[in-house]
Amino acid sequence: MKYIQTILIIIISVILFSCQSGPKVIDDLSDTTFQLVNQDSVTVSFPDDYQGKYVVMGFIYTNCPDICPLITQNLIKIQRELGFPEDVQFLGITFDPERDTPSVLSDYKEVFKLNDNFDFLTGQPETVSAFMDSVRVRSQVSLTTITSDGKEIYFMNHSDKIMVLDKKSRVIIEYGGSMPQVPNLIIEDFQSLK
Amino acid sequence: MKRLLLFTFIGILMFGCNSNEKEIPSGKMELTDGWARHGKAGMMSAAYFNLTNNTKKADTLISISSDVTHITQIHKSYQTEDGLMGMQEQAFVALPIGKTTSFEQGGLHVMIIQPERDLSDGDSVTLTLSFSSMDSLVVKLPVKTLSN
Repeated sequence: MKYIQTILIIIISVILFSCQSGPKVIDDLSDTTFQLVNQDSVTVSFPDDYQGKYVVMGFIYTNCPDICPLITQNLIKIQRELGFPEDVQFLGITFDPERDTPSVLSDYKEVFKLNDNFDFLTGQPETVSAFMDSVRVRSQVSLTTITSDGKEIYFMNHSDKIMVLDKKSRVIIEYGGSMPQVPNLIIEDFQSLK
Repeated sequence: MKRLLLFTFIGILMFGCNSNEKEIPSGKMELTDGWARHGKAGMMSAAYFNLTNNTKKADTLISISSDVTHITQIHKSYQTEDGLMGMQEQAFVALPIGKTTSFEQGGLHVMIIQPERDLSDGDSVTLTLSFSSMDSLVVKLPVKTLSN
């Protein structure tokens, strides 16, 4: 009798395990809403406004000369390789909201010639700070200098991350954002999702 | 005749042993695969290239200037101990004989800080590289747009 019971437990476990379809959920962002603003000064409720879409997002500051353009390039490559899908929203979210105003983000978007499905978000510093905490993105000013003609030069140390949210605003994919192999990894992950 | 041959032989030996003499570069410092990233005036751009020391002397890159900004710096991206991405300014870059030093995305790069004009496709950026030994090298790099 005990033998049959053990077999039954194993069978039920196997069935339950095989029913867990879909990717592993790293984090659920659907519980909290952040009021952000895009490059056109349009208010965005994150993640509510993107429910029903996948979201691929990277974290940047526009004064970044090297790593953040790489993150942006990787986002661009993922969008292109996926064939510009309408159900996937691409986002670049700044962790430097005091300097990255909507108009600065608009210039940044224009420089990269991005389409409507690719937005950049900023917001009130305290809101952006809370948002970055929720996605475990850290940043700190590493150097500030004022030039002889009064211009401010500053650089930041920061996390390097690209995340993918599923249609229920759950984080399902997370990689280092600037790594050259990341676009292919995310594209492969997407192909296994669909 | 024998005396002439002897003097010639001694002369060659003396010339060959004169190691303290400053060597005259026979090759050039070569910059290849150079490009600068697009950008708007006042924002941030960067330049990347391969620099090969084909001279017969080790040298050092000590500074770079540009025609599009007053502020050009050499930096290197790196990962901090607590896992963040950061940059460190490089006071100089050693250029060993016969070696190629790559200035590439995610590594060594030239920061073009707050360019005074937009940098778009078809534009170019002139860089002047200064070395500790050899004469400056002036190069014109095309601006590359990285977009969809």
